[in-house]
Amino acid sequence: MDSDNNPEFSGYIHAIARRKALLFGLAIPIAVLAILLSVGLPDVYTSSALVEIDEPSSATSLAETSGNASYADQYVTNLKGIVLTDSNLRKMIKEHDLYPELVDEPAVMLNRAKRDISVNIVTTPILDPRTGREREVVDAFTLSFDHRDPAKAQKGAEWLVSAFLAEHRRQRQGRASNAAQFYAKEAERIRTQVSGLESKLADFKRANAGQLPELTEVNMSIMDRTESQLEQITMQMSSLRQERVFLAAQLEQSRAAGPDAGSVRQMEDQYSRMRSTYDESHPDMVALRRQIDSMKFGTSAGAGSSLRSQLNTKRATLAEARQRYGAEHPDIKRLQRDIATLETRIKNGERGDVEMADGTPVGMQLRTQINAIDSQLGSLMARSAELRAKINGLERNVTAAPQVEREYANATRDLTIAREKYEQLLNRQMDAEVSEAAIVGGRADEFRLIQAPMLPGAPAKPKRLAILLIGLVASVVLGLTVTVAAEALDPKVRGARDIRELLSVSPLVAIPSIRNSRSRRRNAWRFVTASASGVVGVWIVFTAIQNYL
Amino acid sequence: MSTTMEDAIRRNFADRGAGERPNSIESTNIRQQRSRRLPAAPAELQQARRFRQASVDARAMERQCILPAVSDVAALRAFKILRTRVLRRLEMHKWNSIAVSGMSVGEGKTMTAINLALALSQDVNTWVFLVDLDLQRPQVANYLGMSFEKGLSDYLLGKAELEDVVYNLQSERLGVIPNARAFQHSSEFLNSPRMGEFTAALEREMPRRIVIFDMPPLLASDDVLAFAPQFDSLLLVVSEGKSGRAMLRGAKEILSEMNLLGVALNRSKERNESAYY
Repeated sequence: MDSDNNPEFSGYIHAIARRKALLFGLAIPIAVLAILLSVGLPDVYTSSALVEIDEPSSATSLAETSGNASYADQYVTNLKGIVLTDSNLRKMIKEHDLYPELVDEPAVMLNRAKRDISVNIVTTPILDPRTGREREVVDAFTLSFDHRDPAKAQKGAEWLVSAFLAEHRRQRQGRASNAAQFYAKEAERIRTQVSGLESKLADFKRANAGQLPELTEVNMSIMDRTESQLEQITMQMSSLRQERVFLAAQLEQSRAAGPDAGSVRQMEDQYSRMRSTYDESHPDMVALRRQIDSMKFGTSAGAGSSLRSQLNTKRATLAEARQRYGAEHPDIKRLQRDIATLETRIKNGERGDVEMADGTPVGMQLRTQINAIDSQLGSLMARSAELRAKINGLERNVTAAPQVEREYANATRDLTIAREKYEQLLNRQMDAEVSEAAIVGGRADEFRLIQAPMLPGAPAKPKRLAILLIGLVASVVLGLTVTVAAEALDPKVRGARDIRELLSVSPLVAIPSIRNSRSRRRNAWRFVTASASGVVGVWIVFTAIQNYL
Repeated sequence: MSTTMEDAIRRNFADRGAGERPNSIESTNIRQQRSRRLPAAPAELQQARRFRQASVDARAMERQCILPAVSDVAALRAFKILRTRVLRRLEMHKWNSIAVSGMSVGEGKTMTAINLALALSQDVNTWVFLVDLDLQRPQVANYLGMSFEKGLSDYLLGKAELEDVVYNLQSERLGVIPNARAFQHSSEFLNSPRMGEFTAALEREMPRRIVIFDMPPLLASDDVLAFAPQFDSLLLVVSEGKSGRAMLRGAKEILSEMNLLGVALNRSKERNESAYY
């Protein structure tokens, strides 16, 4: 035989023979237990539901925290913790009368329910486009409930599905509602801020009217145009002055050729001298003037016409002088007094006909032309003064524009940012409100029931054949393993091989254990005790497993 | 009772031994050599009859697994093998005395010594003395359930002579020297002059008889070492599942100081190669 020729194999055989009590003492009870379990365990039915986890929809994504789907498994686990509380489980057990035999043991009943419920994550391998590697994505989970009664298994699974879906919806609704409230509060705060910034900007604009950066170009354009107008007016005035000088020369010539020219000149010289001493309102001055006028024009009616032209001339001169001097300048004051005197005289009836009453028709015509030119000059000078004032104002605005622009930009930027933020918050608030409405209406559920719990037709557990095979294999393997281990760890001498190894001699003889009546009785007693222990042990383990399941 | 036991012994050993002797050339040669060395049978018989006959208790022997009272075929076969191999080695080395010892208490050395003596005595050409030399725990008489008047202790104390302490047990070819009294200082007694006289008296019987000393355990006392000069060889009894490997390793050095006849593996689960027969 091979076993006789092969010392190693023979050693194992001898080891097994030596420890057959240990080997069979372990293997037989395990095998018996496996047989009992495979035959005697009650049928357990499983009803399962498959719930798909959708990606967050676009309507709700803004209101939800990002990455919700990435941590779906964690979310489902958290949800499980919330749903499967003791109070909920008690409710489920009571509702469906799941464990009538355990009514008196609530703690055991709860443990049984927890054991019978299983929540498993379903993953799908996908190719990650970023890394190019395959990774697992959580896209669904199963809810299962085990029970010896198939109808109760289905009821339990249905309760689980509805509880999970309701809790998920409640959580999402709460989250969306909180988000909406938060965004509303934030939007109100930002709105107040925007109002403040807007009033601040309005004040700024009011304070810097005409100096705002957007008006700079307009100001420049207006200033160019005004300067151009001023230039035209200046040219017109220059032309009119030349014409007046020419007409005045002609008039002088005509006067020189007319009657009383010498006495008029003398009186005018006298008038000029007196004017340096007296004011024109002085009675002597007024009388001399009337005399000159009567000599020049023959009637007093011509004096009115002269007064008006003088008044115009004075006004034009005053306007021109104001461009150069301040209001307190002596010339300004003198011109103002002259104008007032002329106005008083004209008001008192010293008004002449429009018609010329010069001594000669040529003189009268010239006089009329000169008066017209004086009138034009007066209006042009007034217009010129207005334009200059306007140009000065525009220049001040343009000069101040850069400083105003900086402050204006700051104020505008703050306002723009605040407005954008306000709009964003409003959008988010609206999104959250829409999301909440969608969740309440059941139109935005991320959990979708793919497979509803069915009434199980066949028991899911126990796997009788598997239990039997595994138990038998385990009995052999465990028995052999323990036997070999006991042999390896045994410090005692075992067999002739040990003698050869330790003393380098073979034993003369191997004397077996001699069987006498006492050893037979002892062996029989041991066998009975071991068998009884084995039977009791197997029965205890079997009962415990049966109760556990 | 003794007659029944003697018949059993004869049946167990003589009948079974008869099957192998004619078939073995080697055993024939050994027997021829022994017959040349040993004196003629009638003279020995005359000498053997000088010793007293002791009665034994079959129940005690059965309880202690002494072979005539045990009908275990495998055990009988094993002791026959041991007898044959011991005889061959004694003949080979010209040894006449065997000390049977173990390493610790309870390994079966006394049982082995008694059964070996019984097995040897079943050979018609072999004469045996079995001496209970475990002075601290003498057990041979208890194992055999024999009753006697004087034992080795009486001899060592000078109260008896050799003829007074040797008992023929069932067969006149087996002389047993039992001991009833335990000695505290056993090694001193083993080296005493009286023990020297005892061994000298035995040596005088040596050419005719094989002397088996049932000794205390090797590692339990110094008795074996102290008595080592007085015996030719040592038969070590090792009990499977009881003797420790470490102890055996420790005993190796002691064994190197004496002639090791061999090792008997007791309580073995292995089958002897000749067990087929």
